[in-house]
Amino acid sequence: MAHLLEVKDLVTRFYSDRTTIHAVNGISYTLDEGESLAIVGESGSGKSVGVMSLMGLIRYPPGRVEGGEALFKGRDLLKLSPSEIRKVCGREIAMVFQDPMTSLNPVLPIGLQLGESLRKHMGMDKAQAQVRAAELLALVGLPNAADRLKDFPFQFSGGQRQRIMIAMGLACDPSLLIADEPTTALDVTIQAQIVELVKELQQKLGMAIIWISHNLALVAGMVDKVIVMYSGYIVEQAPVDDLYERPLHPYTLGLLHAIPTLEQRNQERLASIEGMPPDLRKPVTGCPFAPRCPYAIEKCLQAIPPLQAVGPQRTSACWRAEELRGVHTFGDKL
Amino acid sequence: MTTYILRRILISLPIILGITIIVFLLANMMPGDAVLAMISSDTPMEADLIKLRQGQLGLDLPLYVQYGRWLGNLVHGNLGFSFQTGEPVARMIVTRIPATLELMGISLLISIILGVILGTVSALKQYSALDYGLTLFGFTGISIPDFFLGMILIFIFALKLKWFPTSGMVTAGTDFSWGDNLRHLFLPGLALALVRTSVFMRYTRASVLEVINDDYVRTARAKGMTEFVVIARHVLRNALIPVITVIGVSLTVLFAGAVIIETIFQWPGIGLMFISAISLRDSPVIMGYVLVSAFVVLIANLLTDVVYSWVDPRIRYE
Ligand SMILES: Nc1ncnc2c1ncn2[C@@H]1O[C@H](COP(=O)(O)OP(=O)(O)O)[C@@H](O)[C@H]1O
Ligand SMILES: [Mg+2]
Repeated sequence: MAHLLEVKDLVTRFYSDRTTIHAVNGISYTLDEGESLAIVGESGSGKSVGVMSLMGLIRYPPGRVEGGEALFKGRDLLKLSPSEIRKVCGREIAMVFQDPMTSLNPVLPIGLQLGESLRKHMGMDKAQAQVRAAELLALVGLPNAADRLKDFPFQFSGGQRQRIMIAMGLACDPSLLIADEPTTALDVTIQAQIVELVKELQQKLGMAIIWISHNLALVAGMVDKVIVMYSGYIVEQAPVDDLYERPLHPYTLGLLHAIPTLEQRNQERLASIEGMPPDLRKPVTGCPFAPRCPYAIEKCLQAIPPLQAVGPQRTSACWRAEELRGVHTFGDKL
Repeated sequence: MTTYILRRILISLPIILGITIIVFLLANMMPGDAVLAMISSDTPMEADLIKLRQGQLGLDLPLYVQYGRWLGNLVHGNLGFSFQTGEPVARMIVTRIPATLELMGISLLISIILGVILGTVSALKQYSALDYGLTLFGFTGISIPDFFLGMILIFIFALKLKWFPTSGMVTAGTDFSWGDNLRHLFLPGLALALVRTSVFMRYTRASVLEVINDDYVRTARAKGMTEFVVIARHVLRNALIPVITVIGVSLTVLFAGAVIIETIFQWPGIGLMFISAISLRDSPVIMGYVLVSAFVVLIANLLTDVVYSWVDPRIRYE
């Protein structure tokens, strides 16, 4: 069966202040109908830019998609005209953004904001759109949904606003929902509720999901497979359980190590990987993670490791991936 | 909403009372003398004649009595009578204000529409040749005073090219027709509108640039909304909120600017009436005008607040 989404060698760059920012450097992955995928990585690793490129949301200036393909149901999204991509966005692919406080228009009632995609994509009139909007709000668990269509975003809490964003994403029954760190801006308890909600909705509605997060632990229970990004590259790709059990890239190992254990939960600072995040202004000549990698050898600085198969359905971009099988904690001797 | 407006009007009442006192005192402290201005300087100055006129006009009474009388009349819609013509001031204002409102209204409408459109285009095409051109136009427009622009327009379009008449509201001796009226309106309207257009354009541009990268704009695009809907519904609804204040403030500036433009173009509005009243020391007319302008300021502020709370729900629900 053909994949729902097949991304090949996607390259996106930004041009600002006379420098080039290499935000996404040739990433490839596939996603099937109803499948769920997590994209994880530290902030600045190109997760958002990677998915926004698919939806035509990168605008020049300053950014430009410079290469690759993104086949969605057989059509290359990157080659669609602006009016064609607008028929896909919001209809077949929907996106929920990171910050619910700023992602809803502050001066428009939420009923209108929910209704506008219904009216555009589903050909509903105003009244039908409002009825459907109330149903959607009820679906995402907003109390008294029908009475709140005329309310404005500032009249809702952060968690409620994210529910509204999700309702907006689901409005036209998309085949793919992209959630870009939808819980990062929320309290821990609200985070869990939103995660549960999305899981439940996926079971009910059956759409495919791309869940972006910088927190590996958060996505553990809810996705089929994981892509790990660093510096605009995919460094590891694996089914979720395999990845947790045996990460085969030092960066993934580092991310897992950075997950706070129960005892560390209450500490102020989370453990994180040592070293500076990469400078995206310079094209790399070796492994982008090498400067921070405890396992780096001469070869890592000289040649970019290709993403290679390291097991069934899994790939890793590390010259020493095979050797890592014996390592349990980030920084352990090989 | 209605209670909000009513409350605002009630708050305005003491302000209005204060204004009447200031207006009254100012008019009385003005240098010059109405009676002397009335009597031509080559008439042999009869002291008795002057006394008699002063008595008729009530100018010999103590100031507070004069104020009390004036205020009492004011409440009844009686603004007194022109020293010069004996015409009731209220009627003078009522017959002249439509001309002023026409001039102000058209200029304001044109400058809002043009200013917002050009400002938005300028922001969307930031750093393009068009943007630089509009920026240059904007700075020029802001730096040229109304009256100077008015004189340039008269010189070029009325005196040299003879495309438009130099003065008045209609061609003398003809029946009123809209075409003729609009031809007369064109130059003074343009003189008043150009400066405002530049101001609104600059503010709109800055404001659009401020919100264009906001998250909700990206959300609208991600929903597949057309560029027009994204700009008109999502960007402008937010970007115009600060511009509304600027428009509100400029209403009063426009009213003041109309005085000069009406004088240059002999546009028979209340600005022209005010200027001739000043030269004749016709204080009831002057007071009438100043009162009207005070009202204009109050109404402009009220209007600004109402529109503001209408477009920004965060204010409305406070
Ligand atoms: N509008 C922009 N202008 C310039 N650079 C950008 C822009 N958006 C993103 N970038 C760059 O792209 C890189 C990747 O960003 P992003 O995809 O948002 O990271 P994340 O993984 O945190 O989602 C960042 O380093 C950032 O500097
Ligand atoms: Mg991001």
